[in-house]
Amino acid sequence: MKLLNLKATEYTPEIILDPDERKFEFKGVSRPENAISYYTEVYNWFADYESYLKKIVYAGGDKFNLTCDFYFTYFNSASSKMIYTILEILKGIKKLGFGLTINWYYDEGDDQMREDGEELSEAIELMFNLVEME
Amino acid sequence: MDESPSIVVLEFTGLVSFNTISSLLPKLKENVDALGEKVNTYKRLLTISIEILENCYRYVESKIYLKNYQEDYPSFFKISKIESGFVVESGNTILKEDMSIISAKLDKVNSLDEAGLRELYKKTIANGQFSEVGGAGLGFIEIAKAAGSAIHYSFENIKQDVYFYKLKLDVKP
Repeated sequence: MKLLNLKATEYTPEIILDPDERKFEFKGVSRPENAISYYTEVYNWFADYESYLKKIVYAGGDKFNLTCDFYFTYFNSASSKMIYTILEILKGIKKLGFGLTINWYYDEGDDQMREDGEELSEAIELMFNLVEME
Repeated sequence: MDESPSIVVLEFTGLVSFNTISSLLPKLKENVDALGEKVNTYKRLLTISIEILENCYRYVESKIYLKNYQEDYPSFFKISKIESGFVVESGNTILKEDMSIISAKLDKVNSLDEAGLRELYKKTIANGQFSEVGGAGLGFIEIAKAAGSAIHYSFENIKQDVYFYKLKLDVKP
């Protein structure tokens, strides 16, 4: 698996999916003109990564811990649907037996972003560490 | 609705494009900051603005026929500051055939309290499908959650199968 590194723009977040570090990061604003086409590359990366991890499991390899950091300052409703589909893959990876830590960072006083994290966590049934940034 | 004197925070009239939205957002931030509002109030207004403007942009963009009405019936978006908070208003043309779908969605979110909206959000994000114009059925839920009040709406007939669709909502600080 190769690193996927998408630079931030005015409308899209920085996304770093690092299989070597076993760490995934989403940071910034997400309101692409077309959320489906923008997130397809990211979704496909995670789908491929899940297949890669399944091969490790079937070959009897060691399972390890993964970390996913979300630090959005804003995302539109179409992006939230795409984030949910990515979380579904992460949930599948957790079911394979890999450790999964999800950190949901939000700016100080941004109650809405905290609530978005709580609701996504409840909807996908995965625990998020909600972290208020100063 | 509060009818006390108001200050215009953001106003746009014309065809809404993706670039229109991008050009309005910095003005929203600047003007809300100048009022000394809390981060959370700005974020709620940001969510409402983007969801309404994206709905307008995607809808009118997808209905070529409606572009003929832009000159006489241009889309509009306005945020006003009043004593008790903010008022957000918007309007755009709509085809008669789409009115019932929009009314049903708005009536649904207007009938729910905060806990109900939260449940509907979770159900919709898990099961909702993207529509042909890119929405996932979450937009009105996000707007209602952010406003914390009912989304008032109306349809005014322009010509046969074309109506002017208006939204108005209060946002408490």
